[in-house]
Amino acid sequence: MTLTGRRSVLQVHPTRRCNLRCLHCYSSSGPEVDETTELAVLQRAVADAAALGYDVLGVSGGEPTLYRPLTELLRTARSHGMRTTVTSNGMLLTGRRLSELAGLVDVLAISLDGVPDSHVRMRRDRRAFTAMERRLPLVRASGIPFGFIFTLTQFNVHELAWVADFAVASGASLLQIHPLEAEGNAVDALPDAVPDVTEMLFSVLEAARLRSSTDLVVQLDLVERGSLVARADRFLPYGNPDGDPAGRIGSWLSPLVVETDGTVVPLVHGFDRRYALGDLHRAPLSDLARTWDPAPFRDLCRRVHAELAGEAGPAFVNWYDEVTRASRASLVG
Amino acid sequence: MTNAKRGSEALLEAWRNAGRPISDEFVAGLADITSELVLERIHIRGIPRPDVLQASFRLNGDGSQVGAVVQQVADLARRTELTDDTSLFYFTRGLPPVFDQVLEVAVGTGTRAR
Repeated sequence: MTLTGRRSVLQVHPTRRCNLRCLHCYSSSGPEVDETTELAVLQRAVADAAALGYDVLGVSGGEPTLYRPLTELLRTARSHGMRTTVTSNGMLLTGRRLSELAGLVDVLAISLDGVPDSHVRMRRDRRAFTAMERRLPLVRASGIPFGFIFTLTQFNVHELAWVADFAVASGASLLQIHPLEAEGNAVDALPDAVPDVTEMLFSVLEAARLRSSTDLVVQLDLVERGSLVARADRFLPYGNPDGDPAGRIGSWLSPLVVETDGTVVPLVHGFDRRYALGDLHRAPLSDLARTWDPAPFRDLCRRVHAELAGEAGPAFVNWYDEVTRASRASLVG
Repeated sequence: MTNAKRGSEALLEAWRNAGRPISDEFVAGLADITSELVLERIHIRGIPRPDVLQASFRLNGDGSQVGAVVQQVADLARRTELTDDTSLFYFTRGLPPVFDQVLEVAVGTGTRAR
């Protein structure tokens, strides 16, 4: 079992180009950023990932719809039996783009950061909400299952109910709540906005209330300390010999992330590169996976887990953020 | 962020102000109208401000008083501006002979966060 349940996710960021410059963007994407990954490199990585046990391709960015060969990339994933998700700000989802994506995307995730004023402030574009909202009837008509991703900050848990109502009214089926992390633009633009334990606790209460009062699937990207202890196998990536006799990396390391420059890292975009599997421009993913020494990463997870799962640990944690921050501390064996 | 207030503070404030409190006037009026009926069950919900009231009343006799009671409760809801949040259900018990008539009154929408 992995952090992503029974599914193993290959997350790719094929472009850092974006029509927005969001305050909380973890990859510091924007209109002036021109970095993309060649399609052939990603197609090879997807094929290798499928052979390594990954069965979901998640495409994020940047704004994925600005990646010209997006449909080819998704089609490659489908041809290898993978499910696909695409995360978008929703503003560029034209009828034409949606018709291209229909049949290739299993879940379309649209970012929504609260009531319209909050969303616009976070997106630094006064059209960000209205342009996205205008696309939603087209999204619904496309038949692509979709949901919203809400970034939880220190200041916005009270807007979750509004977001859930908006999601229901829009025909969405999923609401994902992801705590803000001090990454990318957020480091300077939102220095005090990472939610503390109190805000996390209230988000847990709100998520529970919304689960019981709506038909939405509400996913909260937080872990309670009890789960850290009871489900330690999810957080300590040692693999499950019974789960995958071949011991493939996909059976115990998920998500696996391909950054725009081709670097492959565990868990999240921005993970310290000392733990990276390598660069897809130097070697294919199959080789990187074979030659990577996972011991430092496993040690890191074990240390973080021991600290957080102890009696003095916090009630709730953002596991991804905790491990990512720890990865930037010195490598200790 | 220019907004210095915690989201949880705003949420608590929204919870405190949620719902539409049921007024003393409505409760007193309902008690007066139903004083001749038998109260079978009453449920009041809402902390710190009760904003949901559900009550069942049994009407004895042949039920001839039902129309008048319903009219009075409807007038009371209108007078106390609870028309949109008030429901009345009337049903009988027994396949005939009917041995009870029951009037259920439900007021309020419960706590909402917005």
